[in-house]
Amino acid sequence: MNLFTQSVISGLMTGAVYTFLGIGLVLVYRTARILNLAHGETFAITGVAAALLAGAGLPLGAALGLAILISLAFATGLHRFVLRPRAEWPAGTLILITLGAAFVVRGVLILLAGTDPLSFPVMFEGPPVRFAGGAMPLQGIALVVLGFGVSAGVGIFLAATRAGKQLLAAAENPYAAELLGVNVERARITAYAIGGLLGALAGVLLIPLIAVDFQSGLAMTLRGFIAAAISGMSPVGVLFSGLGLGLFEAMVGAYLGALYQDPVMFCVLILVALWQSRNIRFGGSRRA
Amino acid sequence: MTAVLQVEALDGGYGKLTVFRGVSLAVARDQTLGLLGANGAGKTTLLKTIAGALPSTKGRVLLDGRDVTRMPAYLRARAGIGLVPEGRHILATLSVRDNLALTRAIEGHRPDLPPFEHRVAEVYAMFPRLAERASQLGGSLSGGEQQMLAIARALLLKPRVLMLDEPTQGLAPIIVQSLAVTLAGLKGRFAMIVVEQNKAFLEQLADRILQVRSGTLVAADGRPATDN
Amino acid sequence: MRKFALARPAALAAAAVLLAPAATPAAAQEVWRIGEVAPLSGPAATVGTRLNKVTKMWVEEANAKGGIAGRKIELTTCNDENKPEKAVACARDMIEKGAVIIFGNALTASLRAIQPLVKSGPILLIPSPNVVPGADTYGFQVSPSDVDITEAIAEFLKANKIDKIGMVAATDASGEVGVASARKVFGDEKIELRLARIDLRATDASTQLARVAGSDIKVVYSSYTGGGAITVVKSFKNLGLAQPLIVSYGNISDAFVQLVKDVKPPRLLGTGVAGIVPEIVKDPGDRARSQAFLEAYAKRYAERPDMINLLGKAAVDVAEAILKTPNPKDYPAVKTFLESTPIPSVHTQRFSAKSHVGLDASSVIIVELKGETWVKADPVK
Ligand SMILES: Nc1ncnc2c1ncn2[C@@H]1O[C@H](COP(=O)(O)OP(=O)(O)OP(=O)(O)O)[C@@H](O)[C@H]1O
Ligand SMILES: [Mg+2]
Repeated sequence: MNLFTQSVISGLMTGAVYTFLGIGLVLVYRTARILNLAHGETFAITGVAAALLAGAGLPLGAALGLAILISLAFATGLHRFVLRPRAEWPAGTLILITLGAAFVVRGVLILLAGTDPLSFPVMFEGPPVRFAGGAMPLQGIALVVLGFGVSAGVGIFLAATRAGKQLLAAAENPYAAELLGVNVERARITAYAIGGLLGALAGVLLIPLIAVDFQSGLAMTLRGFIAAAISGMSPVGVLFSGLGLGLFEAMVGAYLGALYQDPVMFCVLILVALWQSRNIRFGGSRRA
Repeated sequence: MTAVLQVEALDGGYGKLTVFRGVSLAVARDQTLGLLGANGAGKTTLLKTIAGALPSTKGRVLLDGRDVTRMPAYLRARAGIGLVPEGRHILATLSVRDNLALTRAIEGHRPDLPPFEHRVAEVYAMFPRLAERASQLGGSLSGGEQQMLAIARALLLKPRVLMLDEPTQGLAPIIVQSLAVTLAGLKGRFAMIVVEQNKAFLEQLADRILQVRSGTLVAADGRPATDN
Repeated sequence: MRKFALARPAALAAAAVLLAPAATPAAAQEVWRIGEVAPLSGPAATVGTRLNKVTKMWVEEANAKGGIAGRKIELTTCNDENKPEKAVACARDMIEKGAVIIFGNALTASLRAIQPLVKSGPILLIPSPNVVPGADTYGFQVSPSDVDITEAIAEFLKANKIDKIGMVAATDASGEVGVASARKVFGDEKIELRLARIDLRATDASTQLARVAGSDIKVVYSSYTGGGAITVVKSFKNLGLAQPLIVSYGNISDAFVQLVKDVKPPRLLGTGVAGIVPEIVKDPGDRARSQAFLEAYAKRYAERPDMINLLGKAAVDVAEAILKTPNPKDYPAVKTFLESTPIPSVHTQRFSAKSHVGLDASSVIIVELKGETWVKADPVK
């Protein structure tokens, strides 16, 4: 078994998770100007719902489909019924509200599923693919391909399609956008829906490789946030920051040891923050 | 005269604060109405309310005789109420072209729209500077260029009524002059409401001038306006 | 000043007299105040809730029978969320309110934090293998220690003529304890240890396993408890590794079996106290008590009890023995009693003046998952 190959494989899979979660956060931030701390809950909700539904005897495909719908309903409902009626509130307060929503979800998940971890079967069954002294499960390949593929798709959607640009315009200046005929409300709900869908997809693909419990959500939000922050909240940049983080984490874990993972990671975060603030210090006006 | 835009006894403001009261006006298709008024008189608030960006508390707004009082701003824009807002509100992170392309939101909501490329070519012909800077970011345009872009965007909405809120603000006199020419060239294609501090500019352009005085409309000579 | 100092004892006496009449008739309603510090939310909630289920069951049963020594039990469970500072606040509050026994149903870091609070009592019962209380303290460990568990693994390896082991341990305090035991025990036994640490939040363990599970390694050990262990088991399967995998005693549960049943490696082993498989318990009394508890628990909660429940049972049995002593509040006397009296439980607890660990390596067995039940492990070929 080749440690380097295996580290690359592990890094790709971890990076796909970072990217999946990061792009949803970026999307909502760019359109609704809110750092949605309940974003990772879409992952936890999908996982717990899928595990419970599959456990209740529903065919896996149906359970996953239903779970994704529940997660979508949560993401859009959070916007429509919780955040939108308070649109005039200060951004800081709204962020706290999303954190509150995350804790409410935790509570509901405990009531529904208890505190024990849950899981459900993989979608892509079969022996792992072996190459260059490494092994990668089929589900892992799907995670990597879809994680980066879908995220790239979202990046392209935002940067190159008319609907994507409407989303960006609605984020930058909702007043100007609506004067030009853009349905700002629909742009926002679309952003939450896409974000929810991505969080749900990440859950569907990753959870069979690990497990989910009531508190997985915030951990996932944190991962997404790190990737998003390093990218400077850029929908294309998060692809690279996610990939970089995943590979970096795997390499540090493999060659330095997991004990160094956090210290090294936070050093990198601080360096990136300093590097980004350079733009501000020298009078540049890079937009977040 | 059949009014394209008719405002009837409209009240509006911010929350509990009423900024203007009982405003009535009517503009015909070939007419340009000028609005003068001191700072804080309520001109911007009135235009925003007509455009649907602020809710009215009383009265009605009719577009081509259709009541649009409860319609959200983006639908009013699609229906043909164009506003070049105070401060221009250019989307700084989008290119000039993308700023213009946002107006494609009206496609499918208006009959007889020529293809977008034709419509853009038309505004580029009117503002060649924009064509030269098509791929430049909105935020990097000069103030005058931003004003052109703001007007061009509103024109691409194929407005039935075009409202301009202090279009000359911050522009050099020579540019103000060419703007006056451009706007004069547009007269007759749709109804216009122009809010200005620059009285000379308005007199050049407007068929009628009314004054906004602490939230009510009065005639330019100070007598209560009997607009319709 | 002097007058005041003299007056003080008098005032206290007066107060005592005033309070006494109120206290005497209430004696019939006096209760045993018992505290329980347990993580009921947060990453360690699985452990806390499982122990808490056993404590609650004990209190219900004892109170239904009219209490112990004529007094009912009043249990206060305090959620420390697996945070040491909260655990300290919990324990301090319980001691102030006069708890006679504290169940330290918490994890390593919390237990270490509350140990200093019971320097002069009350008795702190510890069902975790990771915290070994000194014999001069009021802490009593009702489980085998982590060293005992590691020794049982070493025994198993030697019996199978294996001289190398791969090990994956978490980066938290529990992982630290596991690594220390492994270095000591495997070092003493001349067993080569190949070790990789893994972050608790990791979503993939394949690099760690790639490092420790080379083809020359016959057995891999994961000392990890809780959700993270599942990541290890699944990565193990995904790498297509064929060695037997030994998981920690904390995973010998139904919930875990449900989670890994489709993805388990060819052979899944685990550490545990023998009572989890009563048939192989040698002492007939221990065997009967284990059997009885497994049945009572299954009846009460409609789920199979696991290793953690079993350790919880050991803790409540010791607590009950303490409450039956003449004066449970006389902590030095209770300490002497525990140090000199074997306490029958699912495994008879034998504390001594030299060691406050009630069980040893002989109570630990290596189990193996066959179908959905844990049985004694087969040899490794
Ligand atoms: N967002 C707001 N909330 C509350 N009050 C506002 C708000 N915006 C404007 N106002 C108040 O409404 C009144 C009218 O403002 P408005 O912007 O309509 O004036 P204006 O006639 O356009 O002035 P100017 O010539 O300076 O542009 C002012 O007293 C102003 O303070
Ligand atoms: Mg104004």
